[in-house]
Amino acid sequence: MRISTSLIYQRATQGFQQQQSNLSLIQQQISSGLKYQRPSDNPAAMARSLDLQQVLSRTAQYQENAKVAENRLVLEETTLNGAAGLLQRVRELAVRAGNGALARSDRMAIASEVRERFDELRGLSNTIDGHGDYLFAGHQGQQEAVQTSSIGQIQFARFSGDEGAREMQISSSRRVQTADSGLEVFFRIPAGEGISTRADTGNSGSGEIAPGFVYDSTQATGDEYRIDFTAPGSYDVVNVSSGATLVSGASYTPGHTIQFDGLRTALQGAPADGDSFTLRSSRNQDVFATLHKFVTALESNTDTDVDEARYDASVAVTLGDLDSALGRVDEVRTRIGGRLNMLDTQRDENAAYQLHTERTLSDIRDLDYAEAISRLQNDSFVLQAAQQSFARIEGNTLFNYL
Amino acid sequence: MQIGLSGLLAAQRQIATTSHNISNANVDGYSRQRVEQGTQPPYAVGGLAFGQGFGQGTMVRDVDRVYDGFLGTQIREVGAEHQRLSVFHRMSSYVDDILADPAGGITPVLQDFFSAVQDVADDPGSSTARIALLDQGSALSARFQAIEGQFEALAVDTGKRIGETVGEINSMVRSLREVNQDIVNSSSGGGRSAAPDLLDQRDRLLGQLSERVGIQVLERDRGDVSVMVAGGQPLITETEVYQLGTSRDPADPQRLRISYDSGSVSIDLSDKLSGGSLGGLLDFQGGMLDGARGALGRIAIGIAETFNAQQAKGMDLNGALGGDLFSVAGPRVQANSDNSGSASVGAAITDLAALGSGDYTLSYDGANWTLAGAEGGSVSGAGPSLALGGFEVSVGGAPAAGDSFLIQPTRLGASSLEVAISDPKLVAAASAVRSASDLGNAGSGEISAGEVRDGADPNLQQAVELVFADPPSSFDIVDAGSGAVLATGLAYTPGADIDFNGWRLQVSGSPAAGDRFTVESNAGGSADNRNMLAMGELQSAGVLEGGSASFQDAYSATVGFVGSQTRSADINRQAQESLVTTLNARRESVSGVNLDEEAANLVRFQQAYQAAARVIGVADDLFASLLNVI
Repeated sequence: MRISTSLIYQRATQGFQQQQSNLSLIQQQISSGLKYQRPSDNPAAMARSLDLQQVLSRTAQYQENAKVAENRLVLEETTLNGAAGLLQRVRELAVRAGNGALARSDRMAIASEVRERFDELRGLSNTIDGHGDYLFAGHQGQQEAVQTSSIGQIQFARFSGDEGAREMQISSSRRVQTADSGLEVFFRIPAGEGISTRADTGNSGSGEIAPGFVYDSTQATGDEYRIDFTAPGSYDVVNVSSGATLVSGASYTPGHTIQFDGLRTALQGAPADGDSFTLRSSRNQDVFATLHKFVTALESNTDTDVDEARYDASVAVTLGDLDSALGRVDEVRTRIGGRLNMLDTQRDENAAYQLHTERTLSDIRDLDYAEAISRLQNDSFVLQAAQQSFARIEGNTLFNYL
Repeated sequence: MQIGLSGLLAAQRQIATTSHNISNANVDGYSRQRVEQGTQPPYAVGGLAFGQGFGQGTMVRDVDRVYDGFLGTQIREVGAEHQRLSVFHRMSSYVDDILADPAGGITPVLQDFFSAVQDVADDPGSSTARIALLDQGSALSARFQAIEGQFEALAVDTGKRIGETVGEINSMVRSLREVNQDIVNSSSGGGRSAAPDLLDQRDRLLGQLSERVGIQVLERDRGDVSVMVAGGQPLITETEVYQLGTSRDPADPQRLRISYDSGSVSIDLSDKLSGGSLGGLLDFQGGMLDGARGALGRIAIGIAETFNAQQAKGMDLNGALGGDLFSVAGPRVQANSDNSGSASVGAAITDLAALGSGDYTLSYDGANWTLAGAEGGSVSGAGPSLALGGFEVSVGGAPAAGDSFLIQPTRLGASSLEVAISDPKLVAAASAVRSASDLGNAGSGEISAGEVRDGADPNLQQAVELVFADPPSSFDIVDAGSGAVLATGLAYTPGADIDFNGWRLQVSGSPAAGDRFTVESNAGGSADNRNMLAMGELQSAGVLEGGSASFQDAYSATVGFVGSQTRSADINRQAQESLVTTLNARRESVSGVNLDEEAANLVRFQQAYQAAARVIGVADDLFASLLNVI
């Protein structure tokens, strides 16, 4: 074929350019460590590697979440260990109190220790987590979980949080609960003779009723009672179950303790005429009420045989209630242990998944250096050869000989 | 002597042509020239028949270029396609590069944003985490805006290039007319072909023209040409020259269209022009760039709409229901500037899953409206609203037949995405409601935490109680404050959904008669992260593409779309390039100058010259001998 002189040059330059652009690409690959420099180099691989990058950083975030979750769970576990120790101590005291040979002064000493424990338990239930939220307050993180007050002689605790339980995302499909509501841990505890009190929804006065409890198991009936205000400063007590009126026209003063059928409650504020309050037996009793009941029994008179029998029954019920409370705390601790286990497993799974994803991403995206360097050598050899051969051809012209 | 002189002149001419070839060896598009030499007609001497006379020497018939017309046409056609693909590839590489940077795309900021969501979920009361969330939201919207800004700049640049290319085409057409005239003048001698250098110049201009736009060329006998574009619109005829122009598209003022001025009417050629760099630019403007912008806008709108919807189901730190977290513009509606009616058209996105990323045209035929998608699908009706592809158009006012509107549902999404709140307290991390079971409950009934289904329900946060009747096979819902009964005798099925006031929850177990469960505002729930967890789940939720694609999926698909468009343009470009190289080599093989060949010719013609000079010398000697004899 006939070759034009300029074609020789054109072809040579085209060849050099081609080789040089190849070399520049390889150089880019080697310096970035990536097989593909832009989406068009391999659209599918680029899209996939974007997805995998997202998976990687999402998993890293889950690991971060798991760490925060673990901190909270460990704090909760530590707190509950304290609570269990405390309840165990009170139980020992209750066993001692059940010993009939105790002098009144001993019982008063026990009572004063239980009062201390009451406050200590309140402190534990108001533990604050690393972020400044009350650990047992549910979602009401800025609210003290447990507040204590008293109406008349009745000292009681109220739960001011809610039943919320914070969860954290530790994998795309799994969440871990990182707290338990104080309501579950300290309040809603199955009890032999729990009593719940409530003011009727339609009440118009400011009357407030304290939680009730059975102070004398020997008289308790399990019936539902109502305290009806029939005139300002005067009330009736009605056994709703039987319809019998137990107390009629009793006079009321704020902070007044009311006792009937072995039950004790107290009222404060100014109930209006027509207001009523209900007492029902409940399956539950909070641990603070258990402690208060115990203190009440310890501090009561045991002069007569009847009193003695009431005292023994109270201590026996207290022992049962304490076991129940201890059981609840242990139950929650077991659940926390389970969650911590689950966290560990999930973290391992996440780490394995991360590793796997990194490997996949690396397969897709990262450069095989050995292969790239051999390509680099090959292409630079080809370029060199092309340049040398061009130099040889370029010198050959007939004009040299004219 | 005459014969020798003719040989001398012919050799001179040969040497001149060879020198011309040598000196033009590097001129682009130059075709080597060749002297056509022939014998002079023989001199008839009496008695001899015509043709049997004595030779009269040589003559130069013509100087011709060595040229293959078929190859020339092929090179033009292949060159036009090659240019189209090159320009499309070059332009789409810009888009490719914008999305190429792993740290510069949407993926990392999207991930950072969702990490910030998780951090708030880990510690919902923390204002640091909340501020970080808003900052990451701003970074996300800034990235959308930055990428869209680069696309916008690219669109403007494309428009500018289109204008420049049209200007070049016009000036080439004018040059071509001058060359046409020169060719006609130079070949006016009749029968003689036009000067080879002029024909080369003509072919060079045609080549340059076809690199800008696909043309059809008609060559007439004298060597002048007519040129047509877009399947028959003449640019240059024997007598006339027509110019292309650019004007704003009446349907979409952001876009240039190519108009053709035939003297009386102006025709829109935008859809008919193909090939060359102009074809590549038009393809890029209409296909790739709009596709990428629409897809990006759709992701932005998806993020804004889903987060706002989730935010509306939650409660902020002030105890109020969540307001919008992002603001984003709705569909862009543009009236055709040729519209004669005064219709008012609005559009709103109704269904993210069905939302596409293409453009739509709404047109009125005098009775009915038709909404048609550029990627297919259409719906017609008299109004007042038409729904298609995840959005709804509402029409009103007084349209005139023939009016049309361009509707771009997602075009403004990326440029308008903004974080709508600056107060970190307004992030609605908590659920709007909470539930609780009464401590005094005698039964074993449990109530679930509940979820907000409709954040817009006016009674969402009303405090209500579920009170179980006696027997507890049904329950009432009463207002917890006033005791007013809101719903009565609702049958109880353990674990069944209870929907009320915009929330949904379940009660399970065996509640006893008189047991109460409360649902109320989550006021004070500063440590609640339920709504934030729900926002975190949006990361992998299928929101777009019929509910099958998450935001990241949609972005990866966009990157894939841009990458594969660029790649296929590159592959086709390379194929065309090797075709161009082959054809050029073939053309060079026919028309190119080989210096060795010319050197040999130079020697050959030098010898011919010397020989012819020698003939004159011999004739001179003969003449001198004759004179000496006398």
